[in-house]
Amino acid sequence: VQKVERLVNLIALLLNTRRPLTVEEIRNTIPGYQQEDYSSFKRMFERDKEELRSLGIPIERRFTDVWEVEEGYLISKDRYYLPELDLTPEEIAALWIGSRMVVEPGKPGKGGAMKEDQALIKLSLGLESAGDPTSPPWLRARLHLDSPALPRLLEAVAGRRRVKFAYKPAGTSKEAERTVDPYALIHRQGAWYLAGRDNMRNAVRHYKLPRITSNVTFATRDTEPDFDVPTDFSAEDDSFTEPWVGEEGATTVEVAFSPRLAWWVQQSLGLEPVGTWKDWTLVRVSVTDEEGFVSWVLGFGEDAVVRKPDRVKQAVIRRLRAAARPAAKKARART
Amino acid sequence: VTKRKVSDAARRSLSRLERVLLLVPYCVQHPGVSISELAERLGATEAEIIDDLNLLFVCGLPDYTPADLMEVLIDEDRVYIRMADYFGRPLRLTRTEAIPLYVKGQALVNLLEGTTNGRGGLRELAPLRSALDKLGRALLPQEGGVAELTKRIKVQLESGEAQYLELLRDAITDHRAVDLEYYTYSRDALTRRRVEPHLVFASVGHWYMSGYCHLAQDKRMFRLDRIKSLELTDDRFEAPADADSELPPPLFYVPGPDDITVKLRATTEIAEWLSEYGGAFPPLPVQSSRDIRGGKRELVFRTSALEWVEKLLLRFGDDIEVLEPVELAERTRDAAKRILALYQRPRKK
Repeated sequence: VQKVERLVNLIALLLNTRRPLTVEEIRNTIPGYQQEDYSSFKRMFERDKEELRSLGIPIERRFTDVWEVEEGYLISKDRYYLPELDLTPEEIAALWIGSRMVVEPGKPGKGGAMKEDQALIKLSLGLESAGDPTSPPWLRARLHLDSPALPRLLEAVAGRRRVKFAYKPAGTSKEAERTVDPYALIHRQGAWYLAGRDNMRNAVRHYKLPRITSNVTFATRDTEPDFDVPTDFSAEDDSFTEPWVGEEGATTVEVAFSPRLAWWVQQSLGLEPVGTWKDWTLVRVSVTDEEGFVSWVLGFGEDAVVRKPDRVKQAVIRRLRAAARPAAKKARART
Repeated sequence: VTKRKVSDAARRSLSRLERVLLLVPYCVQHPGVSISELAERLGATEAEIIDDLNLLFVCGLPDYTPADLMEVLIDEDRVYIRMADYFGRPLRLTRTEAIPLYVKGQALVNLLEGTTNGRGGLRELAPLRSALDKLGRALLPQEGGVAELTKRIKVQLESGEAQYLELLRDAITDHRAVDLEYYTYSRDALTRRRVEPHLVFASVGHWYMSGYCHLAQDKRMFRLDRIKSLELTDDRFEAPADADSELPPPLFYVPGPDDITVKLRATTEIAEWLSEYGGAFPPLPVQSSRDIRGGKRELVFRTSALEWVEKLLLRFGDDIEVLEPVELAERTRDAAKRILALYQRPRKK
């Protein structure tokens, strides 16, 4: 009797039984268990159970009756079957686009369905015309999902589990063990970052995943959440955003953009024009970090001029004068 | 709870078992499905599917008499499975299935969010959001984890929102060329060009389109946020055999024979920012770096154009210095003077 056949029969048996079946009952029923001697049957059964559980098949152990003398096994239908999600064909098609767009090294072309392909097929069973996953994808994204630390950290973030890992910060050669409450995973500029509370420093830090040098392990053994994420925490941390992004207490700065680039500023940054200066377009931005803003606006070269307020304008002029100085004078100015 | 490692041989039979556990509900819910469709959908060969079906002939319930076994019927190429209603619905999603599906969907939502009025967006965004919502609420409720992920996973775009996506989808699927006005940041130039679009992709924080450019007479990439205007033409083209092969490497710097070596000296803080982050551009393609006295670092990288480096240098005034090439130092100083002039004589011209 083939192993897969034995396992299919075992699942069918445990899924269809109304009461828990004892080990003996299972042995006497399933083809493939009878011919073994008892101890090798027992090993085989234990292994089968463990493997089925690793696939997510919920084999439960329960007392066979109210007297609680004997124990047996069954699979609860509620926990086995995929719940009805009532996904529409449009929703499934959208999930297919998301799933197919990801570019990963070693992604199988024909060599077997991906895990999430399988998940999508499950979800779309019974639906007619639920997207066409076989047409060539026109939309792609590079998301670095092959990052080795990612699966464990996703689980940790989802389950709020404290983690430990060795980390080598940028610009240093020595690595150190960190214990972190993982709050969020952020993908930016081609790499994943973990945002979380560093237990030793008791402060929120960002860790670049490629700089994690060890396996990520859970700090506790039980699977209960280890911490709560502070309500004021946001995955869109301001250390990552451009300085013109304003909040309360920000300075309002008026900047003129040349006709060459004004369209880009309006289109990409969503800044609405508030007037003109010569044939340039004036926009207003709220600035919390003036120094960062000066640097940002200078990145537009000759296509942006700060108009108001004077303080920010003077800061731009100072930096421009520094950049216009010949190198020799620069060196002297510093000493 | 102890978990022993599952051996390789066991893993092979388990992945076959997973396929079988999906194959049965598939056939129950789609009576008369073809073997080739099953193979395609389940990522297996037709021979493997036939093996699986042969195995199912002997599976069922006690007492395993013909009346208790599943009924598997193969009529020409069509498959019917009966007497297997208990396998009519598939096994719920496992964590290893649900989490990647969720992350990818969430990533696409993030990449499409904030799209500009009317020009951006993708018709899939709304259904994608509702699909993730349903998934999150219904899956693994006892762990509560998957729903949490929406708030805890972000894929960030650096600048430039997705736009023209629907137009580009039409252009790519119908093989129609587009006319664009495009701003090349690295060379600081606005040009008109006709492009045969092959692929749209997000990478290193930006949306891009790749395709054949008639102006360059070669394959090129275009950042979507730098497209000033885009129009669909009736000019048809032949689609490439494998558009995916045009995907660039993760970092966009591809060395060319005429590239210039740039050597900068900056404070360690700025040097780190440039090589790790880079702001509106990908991080600098640093070839070598060296810490020197006074909290400074020297960076060496190569580039095909100096215009963008010049603007990068303007951002940091005194805190960055050009060691090589001399030409770059001069043109940065000149640019600074020209911008100063804009501030000093604002109302003339």
